[in-house]
This record gives sequence, C-alpha cells and structure tokens, in this order.
Amino acid sequence: MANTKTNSSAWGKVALYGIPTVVLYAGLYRFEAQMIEICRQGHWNFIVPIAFAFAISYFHGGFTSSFWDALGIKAKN
Amino acid sequence: MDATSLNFIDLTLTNIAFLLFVGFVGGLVSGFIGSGGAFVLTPAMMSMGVPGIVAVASNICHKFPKALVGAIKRAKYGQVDLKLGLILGVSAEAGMLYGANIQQMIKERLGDAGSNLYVSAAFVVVLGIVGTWVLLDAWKLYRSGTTQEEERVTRLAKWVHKLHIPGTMFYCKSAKAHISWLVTIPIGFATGMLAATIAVGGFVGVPAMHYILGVPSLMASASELVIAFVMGLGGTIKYGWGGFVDIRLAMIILAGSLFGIQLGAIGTTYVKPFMIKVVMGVIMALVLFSRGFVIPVYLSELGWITPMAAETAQLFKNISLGIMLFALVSGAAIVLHALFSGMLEHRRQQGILEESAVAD
Repeated sequence: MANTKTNSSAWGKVALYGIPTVVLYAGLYRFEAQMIEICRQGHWNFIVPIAFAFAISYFHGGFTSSFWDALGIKAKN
Repeated sequence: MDATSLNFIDLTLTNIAFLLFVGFVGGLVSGFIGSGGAFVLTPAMMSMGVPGIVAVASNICHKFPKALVGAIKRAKYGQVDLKLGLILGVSAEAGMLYGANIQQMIKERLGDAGSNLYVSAAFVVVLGIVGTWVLLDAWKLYRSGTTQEEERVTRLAKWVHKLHIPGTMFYCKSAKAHISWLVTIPIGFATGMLAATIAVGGFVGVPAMHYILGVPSLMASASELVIAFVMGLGGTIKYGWGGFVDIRLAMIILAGSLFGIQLGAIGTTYVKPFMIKVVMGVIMALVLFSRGFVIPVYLSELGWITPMAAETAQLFKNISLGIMLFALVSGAAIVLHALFSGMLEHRRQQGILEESAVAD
C-alpha cells in the first residue's frame, strides 16, 4: 500500500516537471523559425536563448531526475 | 560580425534523433566521468555539418544552466568551494572572452573551414595529451589493484601552499591553505580559453585544481561546476551577442543530456574507479581519430594542401562520422553495461543479506 503511494507520488512529480518541459519544447518547435531569427540577429537578443536554456534546464532537470527515480534506477548507498 | 551568413542547419527527424542520441551519450559520459561530455557533443555536431563556432557556442549554451543545477545540488553535499570557484571563474571568464575572440577572428578571416580546422586541431592535441594521461592513470590504478584512488597532495601543491606573495593571498577552504590569486589566474585563464575553443574547460580546470592547488578531486570536480557556470554564462552572452548560438541544437542536446547525465552519475556508484578512466580514455582516443580524419579535408578546403577530389573528401568525412558513431555506441554500451550489471549484482547481494537476516 505504502509502496503504491510512494510510486504514484513519484510519477506525480514526473508529471509536475514533465508537463512544463513538453510545453517549452513544443513552443520551440512551433516557433522554430522565429527563434532562429532571434538568435541569428545577436546583440541584446542573447537574453532569449539564455532565459530559454534556464527554464528548460530547471524543468527538464527535475523531470529526468524524478523519471529515473520512479523507474527505480537509483545510486548505490 | 556577420552572423547572417552562418549555416544554421535544417533539422530533419533524423538530425533530431541523432542529436538526442548524441546528447544522451554525452550526458552519460559526463555523468560517468565527472565532466567533459562536450568532447563528444562538439565533434558530433560538426559531423552533421554544423560549423565549428556554432557547435561550440550551442554547446556552451546547453552547459551553463546544467552546471548551475549541478553546482547547487553538490553544494548541498558540502562538495563545492564557492570562493575558489568564483575566483577561478573570473579569470576563466577572461580566458573565455579571449578564446572566443580568437574563434571569431579565425571565422572572419578563414571562414567555416578555418574555424573547423582550428576546433578539430585543438581537439586532436588536447585529447591526445589528456587521453594518454587518463589511460596511463587507469592502467596504474588497475595494476595497483586498489579500489579507491588515494588522495595525495602533490609536491607542486605543497610548494604552492608555502608560497606567500603579500597582498594576493586568500584562504582556500578545500585545499585548507592560503593560496595566491597570482597562481589561480593562469589556471582560470587556460580553463576559459580551452572552453571557448572546444567547449570543455574541465580538462584543464579539474586536474589543475587537484594537482596544482591541492584540492581533493571530488571537491575539484564540484567546484569546476561553479567555473563552468560563470564562464558558460559569459561565453553564451559573447557568442549569443555575435548570433552564433543555435538554440534548437542547444535544447535538443540538453534534452538527451539531462537523461544521460543522471544515469551516468548513478553508474559511477556501481563501478571501480579505473573503469571510469578506461571509458574516458577509450572514447577520447576514438573521438581524436574521428577529428583527425577530417583535418586533411579542411586543409584542402583552405587550399593549404593539394586540393582533394570531392569523392576523397567525402570518404574522409564518412570515415570520421563512422568512427564518431562507433565511439558513441561503444561509450554508451560500456556505461550502461557497467550500470545494469552493477545494479543486478548489488540487488543479488542485498537479497542474500536479507535472506540470511530472515534465517537468523
């Protein structure tokens, strides 16, 4: 019982981080041409790739960590 | 700086799948050996036709937020020397800007072929030196039969600890000694310059902190994340200002890399230290040959050697890509095999222990 609870909370965490990750990647795919143009123009536009990288790193980092955890792949103590 | 003439490649499904796979293996290797997955990522992107400068810039962009996340995580375990990381980070930033300027100057004067030649030649030299050193170290560890690396303070580090230059000293808690920032400046500068050239500054930073400053290797690799963040942020601003960051490439390799890096880090807890070095050395050697094979092509494109027939140039490029793919697949196979066989063995032993506990 406790095991099922732990497992469902682990998958809940996967979803919590996974959904924003998917949204960010879908946005990048949808607005690919605009993003390339912004990057190519350079100058103050450098803020866009940096902000994007931070956002994806935060959500995707949380997602992958909870994903391997939920699958039971953990470090040896 | 005219970035509009740059070749931002078209992303097909095959390209995306390849980048995800490369990112995953790069992350796997990074997590397994502590740092340096970019030595797989930059050449792999170049094998796809991405110009060297864009490959380096996009790589740096995917690395710095990852370094921040990693640094915060390891700071919680008390492994990060923040002061040392920031002090080295400042001079690394200067090295990064200087290195990026050289990259852009080469790109302006010699075009993509010159940029590719510069990055590839730097890879061959650095991987040749570091790869040989790593394999020799692995061999020594294997022969000694020890399962743990001994943490010795080198003679050079002891000398650095004794050195006293008034007005330049600061206390380094990880080395438990006062160190002059006149010693840290060249280390940071070289780390930054290498990062701007091949996107892997850790090849200089981590060994230098350990062997020259006397910082324990675990703390050196953790504090390197602070340097990687500081210079990565600066490098991304610099390359981003010039319009060289391809955000699509950066984010796709980040996607694969974040899966790989955690799996690789878990893998280290199941293997002996020499195995980590064997994996690192073998992949380095393969990547070195992969880059080495395309150097004649770039030399020919620049007209510095007798021009090569198109078929011959393509053959060299195909061989280079083939070796790179072999390096990626074999690297992933070794790490995953080590991880899963280690996990199975650990679970088997846990099972035996539990059974004997029940029997008692």
